[in-house]
Amino acid sequence: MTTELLIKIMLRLSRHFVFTNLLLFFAFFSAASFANDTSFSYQFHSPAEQQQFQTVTEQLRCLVCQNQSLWDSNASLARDLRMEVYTKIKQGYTNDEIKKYLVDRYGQFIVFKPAFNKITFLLWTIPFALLITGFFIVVFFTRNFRRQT
Amino acid sequence: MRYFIPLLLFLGIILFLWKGLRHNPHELPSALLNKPVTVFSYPSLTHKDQNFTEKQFIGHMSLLNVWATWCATCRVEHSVLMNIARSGKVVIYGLNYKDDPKAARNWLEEYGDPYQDVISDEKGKLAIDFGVYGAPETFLIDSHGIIRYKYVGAISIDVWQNKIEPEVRKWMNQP
Repeated sequence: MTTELLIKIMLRLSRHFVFTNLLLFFAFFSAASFANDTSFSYQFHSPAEQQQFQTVTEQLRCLVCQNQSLWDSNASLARDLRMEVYTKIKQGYTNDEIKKYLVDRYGQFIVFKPAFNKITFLLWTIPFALLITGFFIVVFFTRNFRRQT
Repeated sequence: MRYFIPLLLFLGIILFLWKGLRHNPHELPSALLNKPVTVFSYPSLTHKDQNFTEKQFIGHMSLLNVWATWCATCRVEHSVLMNIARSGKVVIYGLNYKDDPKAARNWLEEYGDPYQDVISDEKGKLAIDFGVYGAPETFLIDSHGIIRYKYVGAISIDVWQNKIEPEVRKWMNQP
């Protein structure tokens, strides 16, 4: 009886634009959270290992869905690379070693935070340099303006 | 003069932003350029009971083309690969990526086989060692087994003539 009533209510409500939108919104997001690696469950020896897995995969970019991390993404490549990270953790690799393994194959782009070295030096410093330069330019121009008044 | 400098700066910024818009974030440069191919041994898709190893690249220029039956764009570039194979300018090998071997063999039989040999990489594990993140991708490997060039995306005749063939000629004559 109650299911009939529920269905009646839902059919009435679905005429409303907002309700349908909210329903679709939640359906979309709940589907996304269930799809994560349902075909394979990762077995870890300890909570520390499990935490390591999450930490490392969250620091790596999914190259297909490029704003997501390997932890979040459902792309096929992300699943494969998670498996690689999992295997490496079980083999006793450190976080840095795992990242190096992937950077060797995919380049710096796969790590969200590029390493600070001779090559990426400009990448890290130019934004700050531009900001400071811009600041001084603004000060310089407003100084002149003030002198005229 | 005071208006000229900001205008110059503005034009400079516009130039960088414009260049940035032209970049395709999915066309990533290979991290493996000028590095030797990884050591591997995988079953051949097309040569029964044989294994494909990295030694097969030694002695001649090779293209390694990553493809799969589920990859629609691979079907598009296929005729170009057939032409390149027929021209004899470079040997083409295939890497069958995350595919069903039976379906892959049928696909080659139906559409034609431009590959001298094909690696069967069902799980995509070998592809990771090549830094593959999708299909189609093509690697140019020189006669010493060193990766010299990578092209992401379907190879058109234009891409072959203007991008890949020059690289083949360039590395062919290196000692």
